[in-house]
Amino acid sequence: MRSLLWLLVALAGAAGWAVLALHRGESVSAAWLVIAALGTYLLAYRFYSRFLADRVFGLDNRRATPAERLGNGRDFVPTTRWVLFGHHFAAISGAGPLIGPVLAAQFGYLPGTLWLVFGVVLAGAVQDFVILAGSMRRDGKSLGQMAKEEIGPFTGLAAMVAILAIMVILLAVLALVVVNALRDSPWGLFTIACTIPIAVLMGFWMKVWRPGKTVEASLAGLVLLALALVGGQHVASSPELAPLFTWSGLAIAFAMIAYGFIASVLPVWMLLCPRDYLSTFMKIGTIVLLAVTILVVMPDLKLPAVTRFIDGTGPVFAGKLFPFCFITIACGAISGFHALVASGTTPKMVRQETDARLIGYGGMLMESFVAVMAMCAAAVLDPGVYFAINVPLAKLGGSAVAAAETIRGWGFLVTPEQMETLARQVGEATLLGRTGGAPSLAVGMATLFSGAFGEHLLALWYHFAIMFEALFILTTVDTGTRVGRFMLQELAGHVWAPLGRTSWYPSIILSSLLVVAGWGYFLVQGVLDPLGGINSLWPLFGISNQLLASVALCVGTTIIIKAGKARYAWATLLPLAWLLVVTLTASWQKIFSPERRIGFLADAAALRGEIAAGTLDPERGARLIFNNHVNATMASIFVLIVVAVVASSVRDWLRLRAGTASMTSTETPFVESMYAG
Amino acid sequence: MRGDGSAARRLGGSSGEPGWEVQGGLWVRLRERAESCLVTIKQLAGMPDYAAYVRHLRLMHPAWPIPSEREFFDLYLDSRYGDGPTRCC
Repeated sequence: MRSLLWLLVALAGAAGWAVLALHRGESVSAAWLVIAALGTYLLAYRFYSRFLADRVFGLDNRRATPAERLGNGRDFVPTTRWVLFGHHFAAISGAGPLIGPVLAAQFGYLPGTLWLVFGVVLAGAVQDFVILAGSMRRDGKSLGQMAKEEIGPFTGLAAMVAILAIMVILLAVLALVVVNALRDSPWGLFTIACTIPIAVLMGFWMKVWRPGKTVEASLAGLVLLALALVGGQHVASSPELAPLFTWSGLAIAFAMIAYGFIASVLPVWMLLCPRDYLSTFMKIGTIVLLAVTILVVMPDLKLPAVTRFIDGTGPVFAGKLFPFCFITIACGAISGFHALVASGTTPKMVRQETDARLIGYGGMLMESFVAVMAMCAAAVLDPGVYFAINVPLAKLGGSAVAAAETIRGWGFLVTPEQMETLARQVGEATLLGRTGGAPSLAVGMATLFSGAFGEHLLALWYHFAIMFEALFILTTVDTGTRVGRFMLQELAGHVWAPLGRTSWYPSIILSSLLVVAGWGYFLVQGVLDPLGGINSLWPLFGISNQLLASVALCVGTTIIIKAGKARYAWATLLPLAWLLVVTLTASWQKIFSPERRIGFLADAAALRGEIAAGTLDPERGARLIFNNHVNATMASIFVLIVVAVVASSVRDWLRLRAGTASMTSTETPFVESMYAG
Repeated sequence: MRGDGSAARRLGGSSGEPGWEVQGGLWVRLRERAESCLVTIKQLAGMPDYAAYVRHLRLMHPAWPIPSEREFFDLYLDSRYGDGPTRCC
């Protein structure tokens, strides 16, 4: 009976893939995409994650978890597995899985979806699970600590520098997404600006007036947020107020840099913690709503399964399907950043060892599903509309008429009137060239929601979706800046001890300034970039995130080998090999490709040519050349760190195999659990 | 909105008259259900339960002082946002 059920799941999944693969020409229902993805997830969870849990890790409920042994009622707290699943999911999923698929949709919906679904099953969920289980067996140690103790002090330091560098790029690119969504949009800017006083109010509520009443404060916050959303419409239509909230991209960028600095210096209860609550509840609520809507509306996918842009001529971002599809979609298929959460708060809360399977592997499957839904939201748009929103204005030809002409040249139909009507319907001045993925995702989500709840609310849903994305990007910006500051202080503490004191104000201010200056530089560079910045920064972010995943998989492999399970090490070695092939190819192309659209150095050379020919202002040209050199240097640093980590890990594995290195792992010894039986 | 399930349980046990018992029992059960929902929602966002912390202290460290809910909230903020990323991309 059981096996019959699993056979049905397998057949449904296979049918989903078959319809997607064989359907040509006409549009196909999103239901098939969802069925194919869900069928694959269920099978992988049932069989592969069980194999990982039982055979590779030998998870054992008789063994007490850190939450049980070290339980202190604060951070080490045994938590019911579904609650922890929700908490872990809310912590790992952010804007990444929503935006990557939207950008990768320029290749059509099929390549991205295949990578999302099979990538997560064989790589992403494996990474999250292995790091969670490894950390859980080591009292909840962090990825950096595990790298240091299992592989060596050099690897530990390299991992830490890598995390810091990646954080800088991540914050810059996410901030850029928000800037592109809010520039010249009074409604959006007003709503997002309101979230700051709302968060401060919630902070006083839960800290000063009614200590610890976080749920009440969050409810009040959500009500105020809804009012801010509706109020935004009035601001946008008021001739006095609208200009006050119509800001240029550069102004918003500097405001965000100032915000990041203030959030990092202020006590957490005032801004950071309440924002965190607000965005957690918004995230869970909206994602559930989106899933239900897609299942109810069952929209048709209008984007082709595969577009001609797989040849590398795509206007949204440059580069061929391989390797850039796998770089653009980082979160959702595999994200190195998750290794930081899976070795952070979550392992300290797991109640029983076998729960790690649902939380680590299952949590990542859920994130992949969110990414598949984002892909659906992009694919329900008319392809012409999709490209009109996501291609930089400079490349579209500068005006609505020229844009329609350019897009027709690519084989997709869109009229200037169509874009104008759509912009008016969602309450924006224009939607042309709003790169970064957030606006087109918002149009897609708004189309889905208004399909379920009625057409007249399109503008409200659009701004709801923008607020939803911007809210948790800002949460990542403030928590990320703060974490970056802690890491910088720890590193600086090695040089001069007082700098390492995380509560010493001069050190707090100095290190916060350095962190915001770091990501602020890349943000401003992106805003001033003639092609919108997403073009060069998103691939850099994808590369860095995947390279961090490589570091995590190295640590995971060492853990598996030291546990005496070397025969199963392929489970982490295969995804590691694939990631290295993808990221090293992509980094090489980003640095050395002779095509200026792809290669940083080639672009710098071409810019020098333009200055020499007198077609480019020398000062502006010099700045663009400098940016290209910085980007090329960043990519090289990522590659060097990862090659070093992989090389030292491989040396370690060979010595372990030859018996010349100690197999002693730092796993904590067995203690009988009280929950067993 | 107290978040202290044990207090509610004691309240339910001490009610005297039979008629009141049924009424009180229902009220207490509803209240307990609401409180456990509240605890779950807090845990979703990563906040541990104050009542459970007090129980833990009484059981494991009877000599230690019991922090007020306000002090507990500060302890929680420290350990939650002390170091390490809490949010992803």
